[in-house]
Amino acid sequence: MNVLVSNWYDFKMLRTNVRGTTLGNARGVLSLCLYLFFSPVAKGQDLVELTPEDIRESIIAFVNLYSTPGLDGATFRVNDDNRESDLIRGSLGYSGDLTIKGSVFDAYWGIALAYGSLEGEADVLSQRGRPLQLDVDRDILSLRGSGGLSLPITRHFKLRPFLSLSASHIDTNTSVRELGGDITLPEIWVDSEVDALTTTATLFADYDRWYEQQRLELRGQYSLAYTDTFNASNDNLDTWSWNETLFLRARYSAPTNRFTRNKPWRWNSYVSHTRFLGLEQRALGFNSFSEVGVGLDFELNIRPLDWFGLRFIGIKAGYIFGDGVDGLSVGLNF
Amino acid sequence: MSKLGRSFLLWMLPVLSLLACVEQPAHQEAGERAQLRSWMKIISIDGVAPEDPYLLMLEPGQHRMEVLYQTYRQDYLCLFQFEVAGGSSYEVVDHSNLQPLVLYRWVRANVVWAERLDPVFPDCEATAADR
Repeated sequence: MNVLVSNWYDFKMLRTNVRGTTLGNARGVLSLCLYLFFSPVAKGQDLVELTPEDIRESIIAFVNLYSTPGLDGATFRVNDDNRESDLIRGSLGYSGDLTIKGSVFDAYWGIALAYGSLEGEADVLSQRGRPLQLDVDRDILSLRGSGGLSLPITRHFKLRPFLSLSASHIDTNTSVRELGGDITLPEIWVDSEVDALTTTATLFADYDRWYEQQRLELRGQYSLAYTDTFNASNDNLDTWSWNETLFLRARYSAPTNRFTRNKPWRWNSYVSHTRFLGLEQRALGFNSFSEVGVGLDFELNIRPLDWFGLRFIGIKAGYIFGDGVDGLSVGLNF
Repeated sequence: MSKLGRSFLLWMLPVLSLLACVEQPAHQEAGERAQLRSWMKIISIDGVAPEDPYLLMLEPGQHRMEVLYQTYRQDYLCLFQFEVAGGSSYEVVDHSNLQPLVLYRWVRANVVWAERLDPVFPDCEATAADR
């Protein structure tokens, strides 16, 4: 596929030089865009074949990164010999238990708006040895609703199986230009967009225990997601796939000696690990990452709209690291 | 405004419209009596089983209340002893803490939210769940 891409670029450059026409082959540029996410080669190395499965996985992996329940806002930087890309992920949401009177179990619900962007750049070689630079800007906006059960196994341990439905819209802008050389070739670019619908089944295990004023929280989450794209501006974006995500987190919190309006402030520290099971690393540049961080919580303890309880509101800052990726996580928790 | 910003507003407007349609449950003004709402079943109040096990109207003064908290492994019978102020609202919730339940006094702060104040923790006795 990469060979085809390179041939396409050389062919279009040739046509441009001869006929002076505008470059506008959306499918070709889209392929270049997808190629960016799959091992763009270092200069001088052989091109790696890009398969249709790779294309499918790149789209799904990108959507999954933003639509998986429970993942917080973060920035990721992928920087290796073959590519540089910056990803930003943010979300605004709430989830909680809804008491069902007269039953042992409760209902669980959640709603979240997730948004994010990717800016990537890679240098590749065409088959004729031309150094090319690919630039990709991609935005995603995703609205997610979740519903399920909260099963109190003991007073400290709960299981929450739930289903989520996410609707996402993805915009991509891609540009390709030749680097160096005596002849300056025009930059070409194309916009593409696609919608995605993701259905996710999640099992969430939550161990939450207080030791006097100290609190220990251990959480494990497994998600199985099915994503289908539609309204694609290009046939290559029309795809579907399954994804699995594993998320583990430990958090310890304790009171400070600070109070505001007789309500306490608490500090916390946490460590977490996220793994996209079965995902090829070349799809995003990473398939797992860990995070360590600290935070500060205020026990607000209110009922907004007299409807649901909001006990803590807090801020956190974390460092993200993994194989081929690092980043920061700054967020507001409630 | 960027395309992402426009998309954000496009998605947020229906969400905010939906939230605006949520009717706020009115706090019952009960004169000198106090309202107590529990999300778990109230077994007894001052030794008597209540007519509505989730909503009580209480006279000011000292009260003893038993509330049942259930899990799949154990049941907890929690005894609250607390002083009721007339015209106030109270709420029993299952905040995870040293005890599984906690009683709050509920005070309206403004039109948007109410505050939970003055936590009262019960004495709880655990028994194996019979399920």
